[in-house]
Amino acid sequence: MLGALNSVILATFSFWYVYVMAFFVILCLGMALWPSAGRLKLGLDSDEPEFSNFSWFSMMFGAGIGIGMLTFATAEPMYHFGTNPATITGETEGSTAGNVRDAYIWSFTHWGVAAWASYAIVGLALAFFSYRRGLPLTIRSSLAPIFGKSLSGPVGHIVDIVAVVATVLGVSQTLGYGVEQFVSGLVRIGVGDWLQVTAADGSVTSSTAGIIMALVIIMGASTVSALSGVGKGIKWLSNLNMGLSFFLLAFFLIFGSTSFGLNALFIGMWDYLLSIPFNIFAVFQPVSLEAFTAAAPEAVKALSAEDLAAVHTSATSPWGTLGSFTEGLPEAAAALPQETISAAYAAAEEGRLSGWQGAWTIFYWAWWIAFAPFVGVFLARISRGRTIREYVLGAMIIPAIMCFVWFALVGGTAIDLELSGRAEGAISGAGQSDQLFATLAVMLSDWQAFIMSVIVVILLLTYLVTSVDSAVLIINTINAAGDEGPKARPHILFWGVALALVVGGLIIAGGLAAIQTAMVIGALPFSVVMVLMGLSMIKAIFRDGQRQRASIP
Amino acid sequence: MSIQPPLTDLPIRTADHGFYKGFTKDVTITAKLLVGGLIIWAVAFPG
Repeated sequence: MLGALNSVILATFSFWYVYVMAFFVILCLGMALWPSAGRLKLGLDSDEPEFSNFSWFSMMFGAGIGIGMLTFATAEPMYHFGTNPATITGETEGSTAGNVRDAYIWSFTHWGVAAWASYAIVGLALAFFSYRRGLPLTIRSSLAPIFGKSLSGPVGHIVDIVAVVATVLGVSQTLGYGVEQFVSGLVRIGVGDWLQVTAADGSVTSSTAGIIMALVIIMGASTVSALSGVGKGIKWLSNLNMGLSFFLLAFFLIFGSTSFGLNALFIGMWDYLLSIPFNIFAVFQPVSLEAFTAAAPEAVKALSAEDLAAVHTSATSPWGTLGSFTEGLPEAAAALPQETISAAYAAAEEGRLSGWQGAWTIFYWAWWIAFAPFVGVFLARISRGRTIREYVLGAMIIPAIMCFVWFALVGGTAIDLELSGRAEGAISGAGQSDQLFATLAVMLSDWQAFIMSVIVVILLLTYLVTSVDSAVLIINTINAAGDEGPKARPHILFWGVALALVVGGLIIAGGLAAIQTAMVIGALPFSVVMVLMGLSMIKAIFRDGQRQRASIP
Repeated sequence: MSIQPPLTDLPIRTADHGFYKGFTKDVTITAKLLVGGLIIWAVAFPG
């Protein structure tokens, strides 16, 4: 049922997710560049920034993306190196040198300014209404210009509930990837193969025992950290995260495919900039069986209903090629001339693009939206005293460039090792949670790879612990109407255990796909709240301008 | 048309005693029920 609901949402609301993300990018840039808006401070006019620019950028990156980089810096470019819209339309061939630029365009699209604009809009609205207007630091405050005092009642309660549920699901998705990668790391450093199981199709995933063990370690460490005092645990672990992250990045800069990575970085950023106007508005429509039948050659239309449905399913799958499509056809369809088969495959191109977009772009947009209350509250807390221009440009551009550097150096090394033949498919054949470890294993000798894998496992653990800690703190802050003071231990423990159970329950029940489905559904209502936040900001800034012109305080 | 001053006070009622002291009970309890329901659903209907 969850899967069916997810399909309906992807088919029905793809356009919504695409256009709201485009709206956030345009709105953020508009506010930064509009003179009277850009110079407004997130706080009183006398407030000054609490943190240096370096600390501010480091904290933003750590909170927003940090843990995702460990999985996706390798997995994202590697995946798009194999399949992306350019390979689906036949412009490039997957897993070849000619597909590297398109792999980076899509990697940068998903982790670039659109992702950060969604975080920025939540942080901006919260900081503006909390520090400039003096309203509580909770999600409902950011809708004050639209709903006014009614936010004290049920309307405000609904907004905060939607934010808490989205946060739980967004953080669970992040933790889910982290837990899978943590288990892969434990296997790599020799804790035991029993932590993973191999499915019938050959894919390797965490075993139930592995997930439970990982969650017990992570939640145990998080609980100790959360109960160790207000922010002490988080602060210490955040510093450790940043130190180890820079060490890992420097390692790839020095010992990885530096030249390939730097080329990928600069050419990729240029290609990405040129692609933004198209990619942030691109919506691909699913091709229904009826539409496919209407567009297919006559010989295909004449197939039995069962065969036609099988041809449609196969032709709209974004994961295959014309070759695999031809090989998998039912007997009656396989007997058709090759040009008829090719024409049937071409008739479903938009469907393949739609399937790819649902699995990647829409999933990411939903993830960033679900994660936005978590990162947004954090961004607001560390950005008091900055102008809107400084905040928006800082929050959108610098962390996006940091992501690009990770993708280029770490993912670039993985792609280069595959292209040169040195990896012999060891990286592309590994699951996405294992690709970073596989890259290290190809690059280094056994003992060197072991040491680096231990460092990655430690980094994963500290990132996971800080994410759980911060999420619990932010959920309790929203539940307490913006009060950031210490909370009673049962409330800290409840949300820590709840996050573990959501992650563990959903992974065991249906793997990461189950978390993804729940998250795409949970993000939808919060995306509406975010659009209202954007409209609130426009109204507030417009009214401030009117008051200023009329000399009204 | 007169320009209204911006909203600068948004009282949100929180519990003043008991287990939920300092929390908005409507938000906290509803969120806990929804997340709890999700966990039960995942466990009761795997796959």
